[in-house]
Amino acid sequence: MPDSLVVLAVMAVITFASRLLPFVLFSRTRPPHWVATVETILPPLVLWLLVFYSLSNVAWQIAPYGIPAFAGVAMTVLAHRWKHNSLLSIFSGTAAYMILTRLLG
Amino acid sequence: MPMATAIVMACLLNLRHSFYGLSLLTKFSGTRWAKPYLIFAVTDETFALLTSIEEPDPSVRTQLYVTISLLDQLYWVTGTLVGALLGTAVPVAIAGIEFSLTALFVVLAVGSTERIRSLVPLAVALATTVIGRLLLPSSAVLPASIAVGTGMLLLLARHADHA
Repeated sequence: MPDSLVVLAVMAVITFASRLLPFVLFSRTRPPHWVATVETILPPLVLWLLVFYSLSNVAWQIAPYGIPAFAGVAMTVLAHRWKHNSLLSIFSGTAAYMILTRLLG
Repeated sequence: MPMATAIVMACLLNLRHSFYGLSLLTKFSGTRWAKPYLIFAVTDETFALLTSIEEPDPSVRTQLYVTISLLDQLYWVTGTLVGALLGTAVPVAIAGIEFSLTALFVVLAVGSTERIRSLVPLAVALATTVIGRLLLPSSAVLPASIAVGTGMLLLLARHADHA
């Protein structure tokens, strides 16, 4: 088997095992009280972290100083607060980013 | 890619799904035959949807969860395939389209924040990201932020309970 297939197989096992872990841990015992708290606080925390993570390649110190990315996020937030239409929010935010990248880049 | 790099990257990339499972324990209990597939199919999008929708009627719950997971998997596989086939031929006209992923996360984060009516998770996420980027290698920032941020929010929640 080529090396790349072995690497792929190992990554697939880790990928599934990471998802399985909490279910195996609490398959016999009732989850402790703090897990209920985690259920409510985790989604907003993780989603904001994913926003920042996806922006980790932005160069804030050099022109255009991350202005397109900042404006794209701001546009998405405003559009979503206004209409709560996911596709509209994603489209307008991405459009703002692409336009400013071309104007300032 | 060397094996050690692959293992470290796979762990760092997937650690968050262990945390997602903590939020899905009760939702997936009693889904019987579908449970292994539902666990297998957890992604950022599926997690976001399943924790966003109203608790469905028990008679249709398993069916609804499986449908959402299957559709998300279909989008992932199709999108990846199209990207792999056309990826090198992306025309200049759509450069910057990758921002749509950031925008998707923003949309999900705004919805999630509106549901819990608190900006504290946003503040914690910002703080852990900034501090993490100063102290840690870039691939460790996200998993470390999830672990530390969850701990901070648990402490804050306990404090609020006692106040």
